[in-house]
Amino acid sequence: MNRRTNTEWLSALRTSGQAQEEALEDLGVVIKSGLPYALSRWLSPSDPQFNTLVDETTQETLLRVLDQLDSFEGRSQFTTWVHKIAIRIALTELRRKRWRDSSLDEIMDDEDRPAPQHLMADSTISPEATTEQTDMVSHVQRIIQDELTEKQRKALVMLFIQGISMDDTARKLKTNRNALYKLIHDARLNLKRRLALEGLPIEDILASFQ
Amino acid sequence: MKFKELFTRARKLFKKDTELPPKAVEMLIQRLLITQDEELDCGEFFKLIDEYVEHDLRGEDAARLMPLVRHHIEMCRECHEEYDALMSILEGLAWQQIEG
Repeated sequence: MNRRTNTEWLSALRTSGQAQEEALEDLGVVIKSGLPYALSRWLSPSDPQFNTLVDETTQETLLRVLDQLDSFEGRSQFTTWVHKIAIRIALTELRRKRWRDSSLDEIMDDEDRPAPQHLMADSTISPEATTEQTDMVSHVQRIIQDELTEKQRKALVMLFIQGISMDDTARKLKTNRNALYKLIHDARLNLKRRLALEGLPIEDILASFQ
Repeated sequence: MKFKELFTRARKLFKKDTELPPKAVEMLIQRLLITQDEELDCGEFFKLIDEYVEHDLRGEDAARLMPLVRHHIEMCRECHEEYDALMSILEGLAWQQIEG
């Protein structure tokens, strides 16, 4: 396989014909040699799905690279840029499969269905908690009800309690991962501002949960 | 079908707002300790992570050079996983080259 500089990769991929075909073939080899290092903690290499995932991810990555070639700004090695695209594709697929296999989609499609009882229980407050501590927790919960929107609270339950991935939570809330991050960031900022206004130090609140 | 839709709408009118269980409240409050006014979203992070990882691998202080990227790694589980995966690939390939 030819070793190429960033400029050589770009110029070969932008041509057509044999030079592009060779570059795509070489890039496929680069992706396939890297992916097992990223995937081995998710899927055993002996798993029958492993090779399929590597092949499908490689094909999808090559298409995406060609499509997004102009967005490469040369901030890194071209191949590092390609590996990150491959990772995004492979992990998104693995997360999607993980939830589909655990039938969580079914659970989440029924929005009235409560989360498992053990997750909803007041388990973080010990039976010996003082009245002061339980009052603090209830007070913070009231502030959250005031400051956060229904959508923000729903997102937090999915992410923190049900352990649903960002991509799946975004899909369920009919948004995208970037907007979801912004939604949660806004929630944190609003809450932080309100707690500061009320003179409630975050460390003291956390101590109430101990 | 129409009756079912009407029934669903009526039920939603009386439905209680989502309330965060204490565990979620605690996790949210913990994140407030490192919440910043300026943060990268996952898309902005994705644009920069290859550059960040290469700083890291060259032994440079990537966290100091690109603090917003470091912060996002701490805030976002998925992006943290993608950062780990990219590091694994580049380290694995570097070892392969040394051994090969």
